[in-house]
Amino acid sequence: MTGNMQYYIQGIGMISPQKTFDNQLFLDEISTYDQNVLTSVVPDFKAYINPIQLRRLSRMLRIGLASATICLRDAGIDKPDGIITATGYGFLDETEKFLREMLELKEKQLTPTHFMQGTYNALAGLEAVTIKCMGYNNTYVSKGFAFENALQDAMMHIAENETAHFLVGSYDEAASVQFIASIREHHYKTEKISNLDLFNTPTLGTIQGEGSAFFDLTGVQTDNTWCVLKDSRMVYRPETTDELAVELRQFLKENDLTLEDVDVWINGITGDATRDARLKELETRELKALPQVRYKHLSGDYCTATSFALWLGASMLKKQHIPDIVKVNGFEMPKEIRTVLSVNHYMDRNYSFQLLHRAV
Amino acid sequence: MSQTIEELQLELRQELVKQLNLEDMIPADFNENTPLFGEGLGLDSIDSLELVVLLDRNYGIKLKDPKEGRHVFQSIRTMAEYIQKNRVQA
Repeated sequence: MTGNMQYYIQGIGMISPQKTFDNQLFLDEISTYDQNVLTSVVPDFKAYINPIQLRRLSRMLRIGLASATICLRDAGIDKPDGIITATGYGFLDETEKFLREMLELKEKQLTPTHFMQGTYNALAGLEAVTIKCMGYNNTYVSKGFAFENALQDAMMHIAENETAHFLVGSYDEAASVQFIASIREHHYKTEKISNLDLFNTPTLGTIQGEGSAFFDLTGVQTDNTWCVLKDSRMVYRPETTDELAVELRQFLKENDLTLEDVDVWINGITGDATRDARLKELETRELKALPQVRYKHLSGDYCTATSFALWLGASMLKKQHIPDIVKVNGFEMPKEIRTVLSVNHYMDRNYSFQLLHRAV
Repeated sequence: MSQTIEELQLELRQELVKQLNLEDMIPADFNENTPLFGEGLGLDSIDSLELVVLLDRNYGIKLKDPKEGRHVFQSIRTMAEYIQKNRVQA
């Protein structure tokens, strides 16, 4: 996406392995984990979800619905024009329960709840029913690009109607069934580490994370705006670091920027000695001079982790503050944070850039 | 030894709380005459499907006529009476 169009983040709801559901806080309290699985720090769901509705919902649906509600309340919006969600693996826990029941009961006497809550678009549908939003409703399930595709879809809608509000969200859960499968392809480390030591480990694999983030995106700025989402780009399986570097420079150029204009960059490395190689090389060759923050020691790695980076970037721009826990090499705070660049990768396959500006 | 209607009603109350995930509720919070839908426990259409499965799975009763369901699922008492009349003995 390029052009003069500006996309404004009006509201955010983020539930993650850190206490991020309270928009007044910004990584003030840090949760630590030592089993390579990071699960969400959740709010009191009753503050966000009708108790009658709440009782049937799975853990992840509660997290998703609560984060969507936090976002809409933050944006001051009752009903957006459309809802777009993204997930890499969907509701794996519920899917597993449904399949297990199918096997155990020989495909008879199956209860509907696990099936209904196991579908990828359950959250987008549930949110639409909850707030009676009859507009556009879509869910992207394109693994490591799911969230990026959802963002792009919302941006294209807003380019056609700048006053429209789109609720764009992501969710992925740290499901045990996925942990076991991912260990086989060495996505997660086999040795137990503390999450805060993630970037000091020389081994293959990362740590499993989860989270649900919702953003209210629109084309009109208000006093409530967090920041401008200037642009987003996906790069699939770059063959060389050179190719990735060319894409990055081109991305910035199309937005009338150079690397010198970037005040802080968000590095999506995962602590995987092998799969991080390309991003580390990019860091050394292209981005070394820039103040850098990292986040996957706080969120863990998951298909839609770019949404955590977007929350981090938007928070830094809105609050004009960078928590020490994400800083690399304790750099000095820039006088003003105006431009933030996020560079993420998932499994060394899905690379993406997002460009954020301070709303002025 | 056959199960009395009171024992069956208690069992159903426990099952309902467990199967329908009635949070913050214990079986003693409602009695055999509390309406299951509407003003009573506030169950909905998905719950009614769960109850159909519960009858089949726990008592071997297949409820095929939806009109019959409206009467059967009025309360714990109507459910217990229906089960006593129709259950498949092991």
